[in-house]
Amino acid sequence: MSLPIRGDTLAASRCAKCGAHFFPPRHRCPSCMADTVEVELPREGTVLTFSEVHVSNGRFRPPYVVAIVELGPVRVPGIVINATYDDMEIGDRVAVIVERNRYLDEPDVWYYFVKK
Amino acid sequence: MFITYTVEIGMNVYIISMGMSKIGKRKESSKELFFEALTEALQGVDPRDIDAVYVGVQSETYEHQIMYGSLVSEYGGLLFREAYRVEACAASGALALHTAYMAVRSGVARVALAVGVEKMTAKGTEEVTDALMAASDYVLDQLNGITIPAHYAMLATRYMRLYGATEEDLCAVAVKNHENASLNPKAHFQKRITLEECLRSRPVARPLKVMDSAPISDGAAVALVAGEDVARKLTDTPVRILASVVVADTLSISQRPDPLWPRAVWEAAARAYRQAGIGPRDVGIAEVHDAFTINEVLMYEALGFAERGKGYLLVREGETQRGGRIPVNVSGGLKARGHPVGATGLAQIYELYLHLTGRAGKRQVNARYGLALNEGGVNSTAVAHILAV
Ligand SMILES: [Zn+2]
Repeated sequence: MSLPIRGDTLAASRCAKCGAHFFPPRHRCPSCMADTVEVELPREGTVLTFSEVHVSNGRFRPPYVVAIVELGPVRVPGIVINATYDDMEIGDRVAVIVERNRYLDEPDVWYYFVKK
Repeated sequence: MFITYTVEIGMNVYIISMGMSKIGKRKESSKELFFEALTEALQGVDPRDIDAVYVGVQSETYEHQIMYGSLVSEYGGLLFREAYRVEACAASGALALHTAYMAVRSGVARVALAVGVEKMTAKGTEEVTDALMAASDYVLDQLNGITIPAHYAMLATRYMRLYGATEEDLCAVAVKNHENASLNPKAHFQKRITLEECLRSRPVARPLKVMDSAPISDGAAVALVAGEDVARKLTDTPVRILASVVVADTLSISQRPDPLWPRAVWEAAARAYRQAGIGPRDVGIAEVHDAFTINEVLMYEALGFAERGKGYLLVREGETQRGGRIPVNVSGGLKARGHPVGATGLAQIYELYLHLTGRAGKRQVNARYGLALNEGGVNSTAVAHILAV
């Protein structure tokens, strides 16, 4: 499985031929079949939309806020650790942090969003 | 090289008979629910005429069972035919009909049986949420705890802010669908609800609440499909399948250029309209995939019933209620007829079949063309059917 975490940042890949970006990274572009190069994503992004989960699958402790964040050239879904639904708005800025997985045993480190 | 081509083969395909179990919290297993639906469909049809069986089922976790092709063939006395399971989460039922349609159209089968079934209520809400979550992207969504309701909720959050719809507008979809189901004896709920009850119900994934959400249900539905010659021999009321289209989109809504545009739904509808030679204005009744109230609104737009950003106004203005310009989810929809996931696509078709053959009782809508839009994931696989008499 291709995971997107590189140290304390997230990675995507860019097609060397057509410039398309992929998150999580992959080795080859499915449109061109050309090789990709890995790129580091910015450490801050903008909220496109969000929700607050109250009924989970038993592995995540509700309530928790989830969002889709525009992070440079890609869109990244994730959990916002320091906000409630009523705190959030489209266009909010969030920072990316990488830390020990708060909910699952695997992968042992994961990324989260922190509302600024 | 990029090649485009069209192929015109095959015969006209008809639904000759259908059956559906009572939907709800049932004590029976899925094969027993299937047999309840089959019994209704076989009135006037000899089971020996069936030569293929296609079964739509979402998940093996509910009953710890796979091999539904053999399972229902055995229990239905239909062994030694072509039989197998098809799956696209909540679009599995319509996918089974599409497979039956292809089998008849290609000559693989003379009479094909499409089955949709799911037995869910033996599991708890968290287990069902987990089983459904398998329809989302593993890394992007599942590792981030983004449940299927949370996906629809994120669509609702953005839709409300962009277009001015309110939680009341979404709840109005649920109120309409419950009112319809109050006239449907096979629906999971025959109970009307009020706007206030919906607004006060507990959150599932904000802004969506319990009463914005389809219930966890058990049920089965079946359709017998045949070519024109066979159909005319076996029934006086064949319903023609004018179009049957399947289109795939991304698993995660985060990967769509415009998450609020359910492109697979639009593509499936556009191709279905073309196949059928009709447009959205010709549709006299529609069953659409209201797994959550927001999705009924998004579908109005993708199916061409409303302009973009104006779907919620159709409910405000009563255009999609019984007696409106285009009645939608007269069965009660997933919300109130119930949502036994693998059966839902064929439950939609069953509702259209009842209306087109004049058997829908108190909720009868007189229509020439019916459209069903069944989807799996978060509009990730869309299956469109247009039926006509
Ligand atoms: Zn490329």
